[in-house]
Amino acid sequence: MKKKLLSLLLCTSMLATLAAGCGSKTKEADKPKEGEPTTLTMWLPPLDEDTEGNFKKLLAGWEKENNCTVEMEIIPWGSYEERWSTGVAGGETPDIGYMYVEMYPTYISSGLVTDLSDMVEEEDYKEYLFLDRGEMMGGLYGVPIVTGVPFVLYYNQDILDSIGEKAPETWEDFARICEKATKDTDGDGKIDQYGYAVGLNSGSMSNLYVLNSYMYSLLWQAGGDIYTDDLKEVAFNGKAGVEALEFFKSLQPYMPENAMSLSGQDAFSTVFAEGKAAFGVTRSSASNETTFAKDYPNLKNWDYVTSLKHKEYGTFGAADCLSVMSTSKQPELALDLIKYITGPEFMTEYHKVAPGAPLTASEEYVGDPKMERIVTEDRDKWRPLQAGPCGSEILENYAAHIQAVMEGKQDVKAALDESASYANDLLKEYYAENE
Amino acid sequence: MKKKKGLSVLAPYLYIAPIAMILLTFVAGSLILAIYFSFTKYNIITPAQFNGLFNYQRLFRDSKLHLCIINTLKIAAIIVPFEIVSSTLFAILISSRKDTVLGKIAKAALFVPVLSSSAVIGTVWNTILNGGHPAVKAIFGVFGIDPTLLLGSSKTAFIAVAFIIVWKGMGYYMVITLASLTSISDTFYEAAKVDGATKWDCLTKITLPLLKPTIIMNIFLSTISAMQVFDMVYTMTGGGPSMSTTTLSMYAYQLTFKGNKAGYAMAVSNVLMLIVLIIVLFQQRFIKHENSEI
Amino acid sequence: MKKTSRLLVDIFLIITILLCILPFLYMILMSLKSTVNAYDFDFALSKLTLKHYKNIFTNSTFIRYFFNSVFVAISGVLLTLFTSCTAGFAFAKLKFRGNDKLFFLLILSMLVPSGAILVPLYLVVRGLGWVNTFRALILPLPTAFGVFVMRNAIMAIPEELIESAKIDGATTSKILRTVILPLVKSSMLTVAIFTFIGAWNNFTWPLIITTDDAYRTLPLALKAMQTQYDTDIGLTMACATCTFLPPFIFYLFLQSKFEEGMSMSGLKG
Repeated sequence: MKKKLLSLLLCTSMLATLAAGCGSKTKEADKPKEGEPTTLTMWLPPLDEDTEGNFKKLLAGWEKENNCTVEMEIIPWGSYEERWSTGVAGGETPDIGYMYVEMYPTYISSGLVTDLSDMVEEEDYKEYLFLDRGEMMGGLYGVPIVTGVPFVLYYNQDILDSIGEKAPETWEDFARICEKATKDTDGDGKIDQYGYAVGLNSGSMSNLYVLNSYMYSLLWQAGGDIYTDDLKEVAFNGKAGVEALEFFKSLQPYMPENAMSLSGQDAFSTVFAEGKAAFGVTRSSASNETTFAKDYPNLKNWDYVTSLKHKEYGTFGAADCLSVMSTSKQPELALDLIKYITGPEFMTEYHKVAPGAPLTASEEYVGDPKMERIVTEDRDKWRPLQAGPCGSEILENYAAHIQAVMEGKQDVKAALDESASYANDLLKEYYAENE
Repeated sequence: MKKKKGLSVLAPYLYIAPIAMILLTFVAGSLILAIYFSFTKYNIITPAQFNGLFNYQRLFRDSKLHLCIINTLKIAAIIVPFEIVSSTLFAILISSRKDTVLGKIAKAALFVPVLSSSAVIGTVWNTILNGGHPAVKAIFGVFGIDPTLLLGSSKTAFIAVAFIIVWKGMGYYMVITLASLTSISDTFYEAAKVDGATKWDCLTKITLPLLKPTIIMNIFLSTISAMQVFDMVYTMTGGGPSMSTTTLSMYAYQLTFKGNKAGYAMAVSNVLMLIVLIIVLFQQRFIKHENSEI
Repeated sequence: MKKTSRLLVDIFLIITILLCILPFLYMILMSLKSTVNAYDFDFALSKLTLKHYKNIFTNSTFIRYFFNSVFVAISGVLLTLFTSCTAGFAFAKLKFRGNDKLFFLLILSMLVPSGAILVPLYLVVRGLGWVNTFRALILPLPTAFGVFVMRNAIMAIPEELIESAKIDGATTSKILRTVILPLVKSSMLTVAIFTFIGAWNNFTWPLIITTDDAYRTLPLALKAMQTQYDTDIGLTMACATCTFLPPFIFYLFLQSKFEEGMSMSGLKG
């Protein structure tokens, strides 16, 4: 009996020893001396199927030259922000981090991101084409690395030809073509060709996908925006916001009946790309000609308009950046690495693996020719979001209210006002706490 | 002699010690922290600041939270009964065929959805429902439903999602039920047969009463997981349309990682825990009334 | 009459089986394609490719992550079986003060939503200095679920069996090992398989608690291949297949071992 108990006790105490464990080994990297080998850590999401492998290969030269090892951690999209916030809470921040607009306000106001304004030169703005899009909340907080791939309006040339229309330029053009295109083509009494392939189900993608694909463009084209310029209040329930959503609602008869159930991507790939709609929206890619030919054999003759024009041009194109974290002991070296990664030597090679728009003036465009005008003549027709406080909460709520309007549960003005008052309460609370 | 007695009094506690230590360290430890954070303003990345009952006061004026509570209860009210009935039914059917090929295949097949990730299941069901295949439309048409509209309406999305969760989860409870069915000795049935009992008698008088503790356990487990539904809803509807399928766990998640309100999110989670506790205690009372034990 | 009703039930079961293996078929078939279109059902041979599997298996970290996953899952299963059988036995058959109350407390721990304590749990484990250790991955795996299942199973064992073993002079722990456990194998199997699935599919926890390749598990490697937009459905499904198969094989393996054991020991369930 005793013996058995003893063995049981042993097992238990084994657990206890495990529990006691060794103390934490925190490695505090002091500022390295001249000439000593150093390390920079970098957090990235997956940018291609083997991000770490591809980056490592291209970084070897820089590492050798600067006597510095780059330690990369690839954080899957599914838990990107979880990894960041727990990491920061536990006191482990990288030297360089990949961040998107929704993340910045919190990290900037917590003082975790280095303002690069004084560290870059005037000529950097000439070389790094999108550097201005790293400016937010009164500083330069990052260097764009994934950009130049905005959401654009694709159209089916065959359908447009069949109804005697050309590529739309204005809202009026767009609505007219949508109306004409929506019809029953095989005579069975059911509509089988739509104007606008829209999907409003936010499952499997971010809840903000609805905004990314359909709403920001209309809002900006109508001359509105999410926040007022001082970021103290939201502006999407103003005249422009109402006009944009009313226009979107007026297009509903030209959308598939199950637009509410379809996800945005499925609407594009199963309705538009099957040749069953005149228009569809998705995030563009410099390799669209190649990928569409492979993935969408039924979409033969297509083209795109970067943005319609109502009062202005505008569509959403993210500008995800690499930032220097303020905990980094070697901010100059970190910025140097960022400039190297986004610079021509690295990116020319990398874009061969993962196609993208050139980030610098000296990088050549290597994507499909059809997509090039997005980054040349249409460059100013798309832009990233305003980085503002409580971004995710405000936008998710805005997206939910757009769904309510499209479902017919609320009318446009009421929905927008309700969503705006929710947002303004959040902002009021935010500024009360932070000033 | 005395010492031995001391040890044997201690013995049961020693048997419990391993799991107790693990749960104390990880669950109780974290829970205490979570409760502490619920009294603070905390965004995870900067240190927590005590702010008293602020988060708890906010609970009462947060209309989004109230919506999420109702959504969660509605979804759970569908999941739990259907999961329990279907899993018990299949366990009994499969157990009566346990030596046939069909029974063996069914046993493995019903487990497939349990093992598949929510992302796969979400994609498959999205494709089935939204694909507009004539056969699928015909089957749903029998009930007067257009499958392509199910996920797009606040009135039906939560029902559709709940049934898909049932379909994914029933194999889980079936395996548990099956395990306890196999331990019911055949002698019971043989004796009953001698007494001339019908199959129905065997089911209602022997199988179900003996399964009762397992079924009660399954109700308990199913309730807990139904109240914490997250993944499947997230992949199927993202909480929409217009927040009609946003559950409490999803809301707490959004508050923590998207809204920078981890402190408040912990208060919301505590509410969730409290609701589950009340439901479970109520179920217990109700079942105890029927003269049984958990 | 009897035959037709049995036939009807058989048909019903067959339909259910087909419905249940649907995702599996979809997963396997789509994993052999390379497309971003989830509704693309053109399975002409020329369109099929093994490239995703090649990609996965040649991923430099795959083997290491795979074995980490196996190690974590198997250790988790063993640890869970140990903790659940001992505690389940104590709660079911041993008399001690506070039995019911302690059990109730244990059950309450299952009410704690795992998502809500993610951040606190990280802080606790970090406080113990366990970032980048296998302990951090394995020790939190056992839950009250296993104890619950084992207690239920052991309670159903007739008291006489234990009494007669006691009379034969068996110690408590011998009774547990030689009398009780052989009778509740099917429940142990249940606990084992569910623990394995849980450990195997765990994604967020290993992601935040490990930074070192030496400790990272398979889902992390697979998810790190999936980009945000224009994700190849084929790749997603190939990854899902790789995640799906090991637990499924584990389940079938245990199931057959278990049935084999039953017929050998002459124990008829």
